[in-house]
Amino acid sequence: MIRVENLQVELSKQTVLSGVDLEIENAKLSMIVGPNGCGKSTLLRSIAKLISSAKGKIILDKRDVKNIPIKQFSKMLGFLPQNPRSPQGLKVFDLVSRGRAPHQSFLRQWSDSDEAAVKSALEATAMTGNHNRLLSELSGGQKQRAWIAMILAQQTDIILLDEPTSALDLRYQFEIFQLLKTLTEDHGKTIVTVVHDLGIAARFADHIVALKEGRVVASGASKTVLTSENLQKIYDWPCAVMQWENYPLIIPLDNLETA
Amino acid sequence: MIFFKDHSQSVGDGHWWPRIIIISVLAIGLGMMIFAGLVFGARELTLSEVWNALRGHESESIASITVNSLRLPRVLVGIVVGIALAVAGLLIQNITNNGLADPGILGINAGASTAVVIGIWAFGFSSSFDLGWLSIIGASVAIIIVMLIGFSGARHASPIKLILAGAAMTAIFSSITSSILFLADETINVFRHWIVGSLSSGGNTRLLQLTGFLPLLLIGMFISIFVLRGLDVLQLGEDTALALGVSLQQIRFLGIVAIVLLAASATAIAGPIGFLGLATPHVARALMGASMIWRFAACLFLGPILLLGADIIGRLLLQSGEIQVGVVIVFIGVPVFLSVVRYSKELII
Repeated sequence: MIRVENLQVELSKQTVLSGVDLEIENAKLSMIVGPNGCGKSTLLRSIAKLISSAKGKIILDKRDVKNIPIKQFSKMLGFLPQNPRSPQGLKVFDLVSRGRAPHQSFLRQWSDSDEAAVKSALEATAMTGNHNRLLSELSGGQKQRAWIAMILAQQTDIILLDEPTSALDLRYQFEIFQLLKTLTEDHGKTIVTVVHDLGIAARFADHIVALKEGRVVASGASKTVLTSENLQKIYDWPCAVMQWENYPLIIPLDNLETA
Repeated sequence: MIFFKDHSQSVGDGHWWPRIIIISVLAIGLGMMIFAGLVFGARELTLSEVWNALRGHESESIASITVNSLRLPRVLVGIVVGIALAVAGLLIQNITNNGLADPGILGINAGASTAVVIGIWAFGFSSSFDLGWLSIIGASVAIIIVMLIGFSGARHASPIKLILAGAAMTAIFSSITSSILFLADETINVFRHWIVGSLSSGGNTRLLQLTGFLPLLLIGMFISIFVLRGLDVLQLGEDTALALGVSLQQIRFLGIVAIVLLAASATAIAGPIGFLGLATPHVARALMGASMIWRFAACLFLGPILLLGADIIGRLLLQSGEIQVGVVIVFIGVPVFLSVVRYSKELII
């Protein structure tokens, strides 16, 4: 379980997060939603120990993450940024094998367990057939699967992803989130993602955290968070929320106040 | 030198063998260059003369003296300097995330030149050994200032900060150099021999310089190997590298220390030789892909091949005398470089 206590972040003298408290359960798919600039990415990056100026506590397995050395931390938690940089001439297998970096050292080089981890990560993301292709030759969906395979090869219990499907079309989005769902259900991974698409959140999230202006405004199961009152509060926009099978279905309405 | 054992034969047919084959071809190429470096020159020697000289037969003959005390030292210096510059170039392009970077971008060459000019002008130094030490001191001063600027303040050691600090230092040191040269005519004569970069000038002196600076080079190579995996992951971006357990500050700091040790000692041994550090990493990428480990392996061979090749051509072009390698390398290097940029599968810069 990840517990965030009174997290405060200031970036270039602007308050981005002002006192965030939340709990993220193990083996669940949690999603952070909210309007642009509300601090979603900052929250995710703080949990990943990427923001050194963050104040407050982030507790992971009963330990303050501040006291976990970087190398050890990288075996516990994997993080995929929104736009990872892919150098020219990088092949899929090479990328995925980079996920083994936390498990290697100057003295401990490539081993059979690294090999096995890379193989199973490629299988889990259905990228085995593409392992020898250049990253630049792949479609958007395949490329994203390759990056997720890299995170899987890291073999951490917790995986954080910052808008993993922001540039993908409906089918690829669905494929990626189905994969993430399987990882939580069948492999016990704890996954936290930032998402913009509320349809995806409604359909896949076990737990939703809604942020606005650096504070948590709602948190819980999708049905309790994605209500028309909450959406009005979070996005300042009226929405109708209906029910399709067991999922909330959101329809943005005309805003009579601004029209 | 295989850290990521890319033995993906089990996953399919891997990219391990092609890279091994390329390295083998490069090794053969280097062997041929070494051989050519011993055979060709102002005095044509036959193969058997070279062979006998190397085995120590007829050690008083002209052939033996030419090979053992002129050409062999020169080839050795070429190998060492070629490796040092190529590896320094590989590291600097990675650390600054800039394909146009070479070790000179951190102000190393400008600092070395200034120290050499001051040494000649104010203290009358002229031996290449003294100039070598001066250039190391100058390069170190320049890089310490650049690192003090680069590693201070809010965004620690961001690539752009290092590049800007390096550019500022280059400008300052260049104008100091120019003003001294403008004031003191005699200084120019000593300085102009140093500035073009050369592997020759009495083989034994170079060899002495080589052994003198070898410890620095070896430390530089060791640190390079140590930071290689971290730099490899750093290619995926800062956040990804941090999340994969790489300590950015440590890797960048050690990487720059390695660059200075390699580039400054190469400059101390052979004068400032440009372009090699810029071009070799690109050729290595075209051959090996993104992996830093494999590109490092390729640079170990490509650097000496390019440098020795340029040196041999410089010797053969003129009937009497020779063109300095620092000049030739640019004329050979540019077409090679441009063709790699033009024809490689992926856009390089």
